[in-house]
Amino acid sequence: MSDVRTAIAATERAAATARGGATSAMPAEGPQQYLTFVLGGEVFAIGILAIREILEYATPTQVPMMPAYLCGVINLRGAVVPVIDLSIRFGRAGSAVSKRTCIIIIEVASGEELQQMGLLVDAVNAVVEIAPGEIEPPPAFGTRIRTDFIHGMATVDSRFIILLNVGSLLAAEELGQLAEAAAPNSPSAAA
Amino acid sequence: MDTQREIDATDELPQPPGAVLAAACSQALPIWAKQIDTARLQAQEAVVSLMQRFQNIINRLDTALGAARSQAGASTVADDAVQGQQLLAQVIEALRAIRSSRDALAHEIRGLAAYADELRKMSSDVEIIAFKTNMLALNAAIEAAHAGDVGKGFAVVAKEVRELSAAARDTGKSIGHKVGLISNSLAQIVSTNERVSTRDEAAVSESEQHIHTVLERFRQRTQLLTDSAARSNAESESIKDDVCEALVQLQFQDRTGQILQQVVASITQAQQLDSGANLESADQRVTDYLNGMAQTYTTDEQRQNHTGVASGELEPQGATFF
Amino acid sequence: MAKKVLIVDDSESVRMIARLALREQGYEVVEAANGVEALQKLEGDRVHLVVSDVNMPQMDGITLLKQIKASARHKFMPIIMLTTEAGQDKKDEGRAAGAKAWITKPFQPKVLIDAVAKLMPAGA
Repeated sequence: MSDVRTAIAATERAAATARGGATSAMPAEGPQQYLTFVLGGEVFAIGILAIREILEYATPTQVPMMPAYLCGVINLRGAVVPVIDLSIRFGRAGSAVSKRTCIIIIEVASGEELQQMGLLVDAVNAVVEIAPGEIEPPPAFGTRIRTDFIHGMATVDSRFIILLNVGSLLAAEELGQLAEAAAPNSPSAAA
Repeated sequence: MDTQREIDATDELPQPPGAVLAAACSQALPIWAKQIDTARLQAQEAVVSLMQRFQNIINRLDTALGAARSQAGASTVADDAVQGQQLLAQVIEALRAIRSSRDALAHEIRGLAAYADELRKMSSDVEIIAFKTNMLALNAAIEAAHAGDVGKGFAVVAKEVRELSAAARDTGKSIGHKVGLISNSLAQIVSTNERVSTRDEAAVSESEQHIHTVLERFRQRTQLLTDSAARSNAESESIKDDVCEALVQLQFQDRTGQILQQVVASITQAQQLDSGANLESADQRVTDYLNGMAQTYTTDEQRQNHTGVASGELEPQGATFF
Repeated sequence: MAKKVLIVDDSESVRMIARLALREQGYEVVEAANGVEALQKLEGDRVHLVVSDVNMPQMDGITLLKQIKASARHKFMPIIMLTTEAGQDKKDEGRAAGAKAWITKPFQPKVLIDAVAKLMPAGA
């Protein structure tokens, strides 16, 4: 897969120039693309523009004195990236690693900077297009996760999927903590 | 001396002692000669007829013994038994050959099962490749999305690749499933084959045992038959020897015949003693007669009887070669 | 081809015993009751050996022996005398006339068989 990564790295540079640093999901009239994935048997989705890339699972390096939802850090082309177990973050038991387990690398705004972090998921499914009109607000109850994590609900192929609000997954201070965790190991992360 | 007196007495009256005996003798002599000859002939006839029967018995025994020897009946049966055993051994050998070729087949099938395992691994490899291709396609789609409108064409390709990878994953799964089915079938064939093989082996060894039992029984019967035939033959041989011995014993007839014949001849000759011109004295004539009689003896016991020596037991003697 | 033996004896019982014994050994046997008959048989049959009695009517064994030895054809015919005569003078007479063996009756068949086997000429 190393050649695949090289290929991704090559395309990434071109893409970075094109998007000009703007990575947050922006409301638009046309259908938006989402990446669907599985976590604990449920299907979730994240806006594709928040995603940098998908990695095959590699065991993260453990970091001491960090919250339970932080699995550890990985080295992504020289950058130290914290990996979060979404399951634990949602208040559930930790994910069991399988051969389909993946790490989704996303970028979130942390103050003036963009913070990269990995999300540990059971499997990635597909890229789907969902029009803004098809998105319904999150229900007041019935989901087992905090509603502020949820952007909305949609039905794709007659299946409910939960659209996550990437920006609200971690609070600002939590993001700061993660940045600290990443900083001493990787000078390039500060750049 | 008595004879001398009898001759003298015939010329005188009253008759001297011995004259009556002489007269009776002269009358009786030809009759005695005939009686003795009759007895001799009857004995000869009876003995010859007896020997003829003995010979018939010997001939029949010979025929029976010859038949027993030529057929060698029981031993032929024994040979058949041996041959049968060999043939059946061949049958058993053939059954074993079949079994061993089945074992070879089972070995081949196990080999196939190993291939099936490889195939299963390959199908899972296909799934892994499909998984990685999917990842690649998704990453391509993400890149395309970041590229905005510029990435639209690339997004289409990424979508196609993702669909292909999904198809590859399904195919991989399907291959895995089919291979699983084949593996199960093969495993079933192997186990069936082993079961049949075990049963066959039992059947073969059972047959072998039955065959051996039957042949052994047959061999024992044959042995009994052979033994009894041999006993019967030995018995016949011994009877034949006895009869032959009896025939040898009947040689006495030849000897007694000769003795009696000589007696008859002498009696006949004695009747001539008084007839014709007798130039010699009576004593001389008697001496001549007795000497002449001795000349006609053919056996030692006749000569011994003549001189008054007791005749001994007759023993068969060996041949004298010149 | 079986060897042929001529048995000459006026006693049928002796001929029978000799015949049985010799046939058992595989010889072919022809028979004559006296010397005259024997000479006739010798004219017709190819005989290899003669077994003869001594005392017989018509022609006795010694005369027969002499006549056989006198003929060019049968000069080397082996002859065995089989007789009740056991006297040495008779034996000497037979030997002088050309007999090869003398067997005194009564005889064991084995003795006759052995003598025939010993004196039977080899070859055809």
